[in-house]
Amino acid sequence: MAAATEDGIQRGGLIARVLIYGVLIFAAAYFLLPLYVMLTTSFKTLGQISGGSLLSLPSPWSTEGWSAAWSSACTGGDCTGLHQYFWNSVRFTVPAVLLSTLFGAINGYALTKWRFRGSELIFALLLGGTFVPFQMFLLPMANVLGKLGLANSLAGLTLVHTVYGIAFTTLFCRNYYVSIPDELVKAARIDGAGFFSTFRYVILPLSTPILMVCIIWQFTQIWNDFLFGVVFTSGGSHPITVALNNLVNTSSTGIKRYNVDMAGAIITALPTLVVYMVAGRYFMRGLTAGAVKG
Amino acid sequence: MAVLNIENVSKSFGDTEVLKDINIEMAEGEFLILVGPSGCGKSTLLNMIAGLEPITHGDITLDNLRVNERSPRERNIAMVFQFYALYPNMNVRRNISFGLKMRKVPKGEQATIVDRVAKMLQIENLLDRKPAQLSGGQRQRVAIGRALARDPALFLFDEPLSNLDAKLRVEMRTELKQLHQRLKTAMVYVTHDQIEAMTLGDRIAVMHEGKVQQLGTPREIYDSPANRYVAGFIGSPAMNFITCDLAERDGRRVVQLDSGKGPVDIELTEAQSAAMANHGQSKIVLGLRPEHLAPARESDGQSLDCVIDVVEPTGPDTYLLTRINDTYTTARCTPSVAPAAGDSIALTFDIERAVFFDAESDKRIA
Amino acid sequence: MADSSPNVALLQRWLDRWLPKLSLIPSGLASLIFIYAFIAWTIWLSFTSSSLLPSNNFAGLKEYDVLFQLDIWWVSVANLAIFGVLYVAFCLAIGLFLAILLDQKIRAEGWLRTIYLYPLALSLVVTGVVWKWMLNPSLGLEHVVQSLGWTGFSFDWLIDPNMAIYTVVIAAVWQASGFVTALFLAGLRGIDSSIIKAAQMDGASLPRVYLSIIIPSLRPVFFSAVILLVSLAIKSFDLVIALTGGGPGYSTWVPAIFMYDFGFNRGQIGLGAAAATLMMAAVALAMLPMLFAELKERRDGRSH
Ligand SMILES: Nc1ncnc2c1ncn2[C@@H]1O[C@H](COP(=O)(O)OP(=O)(O)OP(=O)(O)O)[C@@H](O)[C@H]1O
Ligand SMILES: [Mg+2]
Repeated sequence: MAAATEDGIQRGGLIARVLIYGVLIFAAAYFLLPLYVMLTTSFKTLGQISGGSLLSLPSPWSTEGWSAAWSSACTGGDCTGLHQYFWNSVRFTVPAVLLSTLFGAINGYALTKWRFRGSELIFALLLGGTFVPFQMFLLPMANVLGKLGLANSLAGLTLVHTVYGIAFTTLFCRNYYVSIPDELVKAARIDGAGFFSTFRYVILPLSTPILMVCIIWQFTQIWNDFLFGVVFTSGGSHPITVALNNLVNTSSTGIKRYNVDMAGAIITALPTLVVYMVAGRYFMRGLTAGAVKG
Repeated sequence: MAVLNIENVSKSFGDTEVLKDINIEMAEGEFLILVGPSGCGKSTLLNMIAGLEPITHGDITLDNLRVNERSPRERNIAMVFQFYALYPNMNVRRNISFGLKMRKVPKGEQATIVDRVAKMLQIENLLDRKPAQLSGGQRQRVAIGRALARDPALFLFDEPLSNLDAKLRVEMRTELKQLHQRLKTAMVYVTHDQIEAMTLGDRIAVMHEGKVQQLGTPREIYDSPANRYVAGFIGSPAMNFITCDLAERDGRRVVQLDSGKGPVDIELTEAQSAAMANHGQSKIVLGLRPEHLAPARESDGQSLDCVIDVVEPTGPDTYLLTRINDTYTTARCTPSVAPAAGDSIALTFDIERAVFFDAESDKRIA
Repeated sequence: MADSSPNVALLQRWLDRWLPKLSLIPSGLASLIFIYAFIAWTIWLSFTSSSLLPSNNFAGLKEYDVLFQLDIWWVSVANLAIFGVLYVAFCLAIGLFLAILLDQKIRAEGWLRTIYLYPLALSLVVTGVVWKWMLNPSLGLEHVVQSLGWTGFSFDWLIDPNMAIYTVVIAAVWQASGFVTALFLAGLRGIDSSIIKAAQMDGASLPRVYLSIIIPSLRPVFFSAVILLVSLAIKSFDLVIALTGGGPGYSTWVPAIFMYDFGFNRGQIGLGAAAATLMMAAVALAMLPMLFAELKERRDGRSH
């Protein structure tokens, strides 16, 4: 594809080439601008913000926004910064990511390598959840969490995120596992391995690419979630996204502290950004590894 | 004592019946071949013996024990697959010992067994490699090693050589035969290659459309095929089938053959005539292998003048194509006496080796 | 196999047979309850007169009646329509444009792709917060342009009830268009280059090749991108909350906010459930074309 059109463009000449690069770089600047603004603003003092330009660099650099965002800014009721909420998010995101990935992998394995009458139906059943707006689940879930005594708790959020993540992880894993030859599982069964030992010794070691996909996807989804957090928790058990929104939108003190807002935004965004930077390429690779072979 | 007994076994996937009423009994130490075209159900039958597929109907017994409900791990069998199915994440040593580990064989014993198997298959130098670092032939050796390590009562092979190139295939074939002679363990071997079937098997089961068409020794299958399908499947080039008129002359049956120069009567043997005594139809299919149709020498008896259309040298033999009764027919000769295309030449029939099939049911009559 | 204990062997055999099915039970049960039962429950609630607490007083279509009388609901629907159409259109246009440019053997493609895609890793709350700051009428981009000398420049959409919904479009498009670019790029890479070569041999110009061969063959990518974007648009909630809080007034409300506010803040569970049900219906409606296309594809595929 690329090779074919390249000839055409090169015939178009240098001007076209320069134009293309120009547009692409402009687009990159457009995508980067908010990140730049976030970063520079977070290191400015309030005086620099109201006096200077949005695009200017901080001088001098100040970390006052950062320390306030982390440990003293007001998020609605209390004024202890975001740190407590950051750890809240870690505490339900990590188990929910691991649990939903584990279940997805086992489901994908059972659905592709131990097919039985009705397994396609179960797959369809599990997938049904992917496109239903979460708003359909909020009212009953609030009720059920209340009855289970899990309302306003991190355990409740873990449950919610695990349950609604399984559809995605199952889909990813199933599509990947169909590309693993069935003969491997047959060989393992002949060798005396049962359902779980085949999974543990044969399938799991081959699953790294798709487990990366599941973990990256689930981590991003769950960490960034706002809806479940705002509906099912309150006060001290909010996740960081809700706390950030409270920090930005409910401060009643009069002056907006944009440096604190931006530092808070970066703190909220940092974990998923880091995951994207470090592991983003595994995401695309893992997804296509399954698709190409399957 | 039967190592394996397959009784009235059939198998359906949903509504389609892929195996119909299979009956095979296998003696200890026997090398049994399942051969047939793609899709005839060979792998399915093998998987049922292994316990990988449930049995729809009938019984399978291993060592006189009914195993229908048993999972693979409860059956004393080992299996080698077409695409090797080596565990990609384990090195060769761990591939071979995985079955032992799953069966909780002590570590020290595992190592001894791996070393013995590796020595037997000459793969000692490969033990620390991953499957991806092996050639196709080496992979197949490891796969066989994995089966050997278990020392089972029965080996199952599902087209183990079909992925190898022609030369390697012949080498491995010989090695497998030697292996069997040494181990004397029963083996069921699936292939769609009739040469593999003939060279390896003590007995061959020819399968077609989910049925065993014939079960017998290679000689029986080759010389006395049960029906036209078996006759055509085994042997290369394939047996010639010539539909001809059946007549009677001087109390002997004769078939009429015409190579374009007018019909010639070929007289059948007494035994053949006798077998056809009750055959009421006037048509019959003559089955004649190419090696039984050759250029005539002076001394030969019945012969037919034919025009050679095509000459196909293969090296050791040369094949001649001619038309008899409007059917292309292959004859075999040694290269030194081969005629040229277009030549007219007398072909002689080794009628004693010919077989005859009912024109309608395709069953062998004589 | 000589098993020491027949009971162990029996259990073993039973497990071999049932474990694959048993292993699916937790997820299967969870989806039966948390997805299907909940859907039914919400639909049922929408037919009751539940207010502060869920009740079982069947009220027929009353809640829907009330809903359709509410000005605020129609504002939400209109906002969603405006937002949805612009969001999908801009994402597709920018995505396709950038993907075609990126597909011209660009040297730094990997870097550019990373930059285009990173906003997707950000939560919509963060996106809303940062755009709220950038679009700030006195200190944000307006101020930047003014200080460039264009002193009359004014950009106060964020506080203009008639324009605020467009700021949501701006932020949402920024967040998702890189992702759409990646989708299109993958689609372009999947096109058989020999077709294009053949067309060029026939003397077709490059724009022609794109218009009449390449873009039409990206149909499936268009399809899945539209489906994804539409369902994202219908669910949009976090971004609006963080960017405008639904304001000024309720000028940027969308159905998701309506559902949340009525269902949880105003104690009108029946209305909230009705709104949620309509949202699901909207998603289903958006999915139908894809389902039909998929079915048709399968039927055609089988006939070969
Ligand atoms: N899981 C299954 N579901 C439905 N039909 C199946 C299944 N497995 C096999 N079949 C069908 O059963 C028939 C026999 O298949 P089998 O794999 O046993 O053939 P085979 O003789 O081994 O062929 P080959 O030489 O190609 O390996 C085929 O028609 C196949 O389509
Ligand atoms: Mg097979």
